[in-house]
Amino acid sequence: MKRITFLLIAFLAIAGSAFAQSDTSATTAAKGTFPSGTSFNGLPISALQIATGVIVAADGSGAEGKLTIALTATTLLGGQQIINIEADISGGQRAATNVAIVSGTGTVDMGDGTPPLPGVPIIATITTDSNHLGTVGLAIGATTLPSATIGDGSMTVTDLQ
Amino acid sequence: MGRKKIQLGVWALAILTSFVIFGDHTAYAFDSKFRVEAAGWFLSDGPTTNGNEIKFGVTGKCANSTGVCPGGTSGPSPKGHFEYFDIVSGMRVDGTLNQAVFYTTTSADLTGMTAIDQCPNAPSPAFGGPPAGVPGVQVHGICDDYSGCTFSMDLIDGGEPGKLKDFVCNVSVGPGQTKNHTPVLTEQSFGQGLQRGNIKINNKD
Repeated sequence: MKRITFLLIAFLAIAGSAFAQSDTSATTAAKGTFPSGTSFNGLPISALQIATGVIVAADGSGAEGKLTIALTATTLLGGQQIINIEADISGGQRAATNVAIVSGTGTVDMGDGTPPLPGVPIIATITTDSNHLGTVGLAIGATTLPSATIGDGSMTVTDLQ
Repeated sequence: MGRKKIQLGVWALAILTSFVIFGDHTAYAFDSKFRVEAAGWFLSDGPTTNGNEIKFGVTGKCANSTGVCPGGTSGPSPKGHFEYFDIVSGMRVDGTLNQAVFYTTTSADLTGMTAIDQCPNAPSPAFGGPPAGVPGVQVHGICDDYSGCTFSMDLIDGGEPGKLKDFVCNVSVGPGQTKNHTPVLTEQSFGQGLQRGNIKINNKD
């Protein structure tokens, strides 16, 4: 009987939590820096700018939104090169109260005159702190970058309620 | 009630719970027909911030069947959030939407030589401004961390890609503060195309 009661409580708790969840909003308008030694497609990158507007469905079934990123790179000749990434977000999850992981496909424009590359898988892990800053982790195609530390601007992961 | 009946009841509840949690979610996933997700940056054309690069991120949805969520006592409230960051002045604010009104852009001038009604200070459609007949939304919100700070803008989804096709109009944000809590006066911008990013407005079933 005890086992049945435990199971009953567990099922009710799970069902209740599923209904209680809200959609998640992940918004950013911020800039940050990468650890020394970070590179992308053979170029050293030092900084990131990010803007995000994503809604993640409460049940984890999907997400929709936009993600815009600019990476500041240094060319082989020492000049500055901006790598622009624009992604349509179609998947996501709320990994923790302050963490949203969003994914989709995007276009990567290396900013060096070569044609932009469409259809690149993009995953962004947005982790916020109490000052609306935090970190952004990026996986662009087969490249996973170390997390960028957000130094200014604002980021929020919150319930849409 | 016998032990066997209780066991059957628990199993029935378990199966129902599984259907709810792991079943087909399409009807549950996005419960609002009217939604906006926008992110990117534009160059301000405001009087005190002309040329400043503004980064923004907005989410919003309105459960009203007409796409009008005026909030307060006037009607349903939207659900949404915003971020605003002027990288020149340093003003950064975020907050919660309390009004969202979805619409389709209009113009009385079929020649395209006059700016659309919702973004009167932008270029006309004939000169690269936002077109008539595309989705737009007017959003308004209250900043989370700075008393008296409000946020409002019109977002216009002019097509793909977002660069210079999607527009941000009638922007008023502030008064706000920088990361170091230095006060910044209210910033405005009248009507600019996105330099980077995209505005996605859903106003159809």
